[in-house]
Amino acid sequence: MYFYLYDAFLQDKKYTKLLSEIEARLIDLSIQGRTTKLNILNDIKELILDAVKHGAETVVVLGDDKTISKAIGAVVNLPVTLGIIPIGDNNLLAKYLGIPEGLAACEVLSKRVKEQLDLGKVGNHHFAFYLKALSPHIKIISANDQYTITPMSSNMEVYICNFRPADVQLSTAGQKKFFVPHDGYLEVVIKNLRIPSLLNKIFLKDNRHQNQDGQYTILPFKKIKLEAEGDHDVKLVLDDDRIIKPPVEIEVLPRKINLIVGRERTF
Amino acid sequence: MFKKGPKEMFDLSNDSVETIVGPSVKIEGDFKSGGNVIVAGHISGKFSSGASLRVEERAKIIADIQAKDAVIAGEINGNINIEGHLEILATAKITGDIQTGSLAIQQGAIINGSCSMTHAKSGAKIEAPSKEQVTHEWLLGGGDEKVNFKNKETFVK
Repeated sequence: MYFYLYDAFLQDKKYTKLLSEIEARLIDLSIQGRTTKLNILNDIKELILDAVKHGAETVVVLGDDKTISKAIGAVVNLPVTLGIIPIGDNNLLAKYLGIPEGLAACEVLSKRVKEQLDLGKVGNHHFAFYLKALSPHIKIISANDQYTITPMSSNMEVYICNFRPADVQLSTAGQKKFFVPHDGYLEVVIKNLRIPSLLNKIFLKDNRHQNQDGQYTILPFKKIKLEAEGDHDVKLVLDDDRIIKPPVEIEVLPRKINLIVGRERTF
Repeated sequence: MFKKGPKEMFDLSNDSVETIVGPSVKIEGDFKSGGNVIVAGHISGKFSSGASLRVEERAKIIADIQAKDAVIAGEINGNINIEGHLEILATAKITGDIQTGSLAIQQGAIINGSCSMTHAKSGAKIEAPSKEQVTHEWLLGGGDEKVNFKNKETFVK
């Protein structure tokens, strides 16, 4: 049985026609089901839990990356498969999963190609996409306290990734090698934002940043700890949504959720 | 092993690259990796890789190093123990003893320390030459590689 969950922003009139088309296509494909709309008064976790109690085996969310992230956090430990119909402006996660936007996603749903994917766990929270530190003044400590990793410049960005964030641009070879969401690892990514000056480029032939992979530190892990350096106020953002503060322990939960994916997936 | 030559730094087309320590990043402590590692940042403490290591030109390592194979273009302060092949590029600065299966050194590399070589197949250990034996030219391994040392400090601690 299918359960469809619409994000609150889809109540905007500009989506009315598209939603009608999607609903008609779902009926054509015989995968229609109960629908519920998210709003500020209801909770995604409670809605999904209630649907599962009523026999839902597939929960399909209609929305963008933020909607998907919330839904992933809500289906952890539930015996359901998560499907996605990407609508809106930010659909990078759906792109990685090989799911086309809008109406075309219905065909992918009907084919039901499933993958078990890893999740990141930070305290009681989960993240499917990535965690970003809003300050580079952070210390990354290995799980067994054997080593620490510290950015040496304030011009750096620190991510903990399951999928590759849009701001992390690696070569094609690099993208294939890292950020595999079912390999049982997350990646620490430290991006060096220093751009060589024009003078350096011309006179000192500073071409070190021409190779984009050279800007990054990338380290796969299963479990690490994050601490703020000294008295710095550091915030961590989970999936562009929830903010938490260090110290925290982060670990990978291998193949924790079932997701419907498309043929064009990147892993 | 990693592709050689400074022009190909950060070449990730090699399937087995597992860890990259980029510039402006410092690792302190006992760092172990089962896969290939590229280092362009700073490491202090102990370092070991079960596979290949590439130390980039800007890298600075103050640590004893252990790896299967290695290409070194950066600065290392510490003893180096390589099971297989060690390649020291022209920009390398090494202060410490080297133990390796086989060795290639580019002209311009600076090495301060002793070197001993254990042939991977025979297990025979080749001791480093004494101070008196050090010359500007030395034939390595099978005798087909000629290496010019920058100064007489090479191999002498």
